[in-house]
Amino acid sequence: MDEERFVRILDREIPFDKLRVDERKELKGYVKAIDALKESCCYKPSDELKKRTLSNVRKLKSRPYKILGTVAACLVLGIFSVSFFTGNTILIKKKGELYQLADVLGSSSSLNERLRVNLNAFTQGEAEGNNLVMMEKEMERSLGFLSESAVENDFEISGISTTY
Amino acid sequence: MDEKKLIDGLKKKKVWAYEVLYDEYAPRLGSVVKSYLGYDDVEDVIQEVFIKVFKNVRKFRGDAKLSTWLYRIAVNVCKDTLVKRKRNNEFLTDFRESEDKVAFEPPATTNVFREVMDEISFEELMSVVERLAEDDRLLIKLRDIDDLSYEEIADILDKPVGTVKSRLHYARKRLKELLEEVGYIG
Repeated sequence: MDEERFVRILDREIPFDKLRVDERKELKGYVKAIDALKESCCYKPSDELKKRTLSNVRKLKSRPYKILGTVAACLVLGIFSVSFFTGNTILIKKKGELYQLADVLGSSSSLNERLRVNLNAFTQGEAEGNNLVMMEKEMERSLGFLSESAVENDFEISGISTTY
Repeated sequence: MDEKKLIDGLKKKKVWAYEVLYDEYAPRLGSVVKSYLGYDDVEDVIQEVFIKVFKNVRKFRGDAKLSTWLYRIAVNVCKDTLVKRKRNNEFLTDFRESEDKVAFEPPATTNVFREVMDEISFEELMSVVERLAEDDRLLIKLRDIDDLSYEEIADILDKPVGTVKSRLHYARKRLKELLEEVGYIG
């Protein structure tokens, strides 16, 4: 059988009952192979797969809400942190007899205040020269100061002012 | 169920719509996947297809039939799987290995089919069929088994109708030659 006719038969353009005997015989093998392919491809999905697939769909459906929840939680935490650290201060005062005496006399706060003002004046003056370098230095100094043990430096934490 | 209502449900991400879609299309999609990949990876591909449907259903404009769109997704996932499989140096699934796992369809309905099934063993024929290239098997499956039109197949494979016709012609010819080689067609 020529190719064209074979294709036309397979496309059902020529009805089966109009085929010659030799054509029918030739077609039989082909049809048999198609039938075998059909049977081998037959697929019945399991209930387990259905459960898994629908579970995936549910997960995908709830994902945006989960992301939204996480973002909201992070936002609340961020706002809380910012407000906490801006609304609270740590009071540091210089150690030493003069300051302890001032503490006793109740004027330590003014001494500490003067110390802070002087420190600010110093920082501003330097900053005019080179802001960035000074900021870095100041930061290093502060970090160094904070990492030092209480025995090694001349300052001590005198109190924590908090709004909480 | 009405296809329009089903698509609306899918677009609104209703779980019932995905359940209906699964019940209606999973066997057909699985069948296409099996013809292309063999038994392996069928479940993974079906799950992947449903995930892709979930993510992309809003892009479905309804120009083609829902089944055509689903077939196209399934074929694309199959192609990706095949690339991965080849990359991982995996071997194609032996159709014979899967034979015991296959849930068979009811026997063929036409007399011709019943007649020929008595003469040639299933195993022998499968050894012939599995020698076909994946693309050839898929084309034959879509046209000669699922009875899809050339236009639908062209839509699924994203190829021009002419290309589909010539490739199918080649696939049928190749199958015929293989059958002739083993003496089923004289």
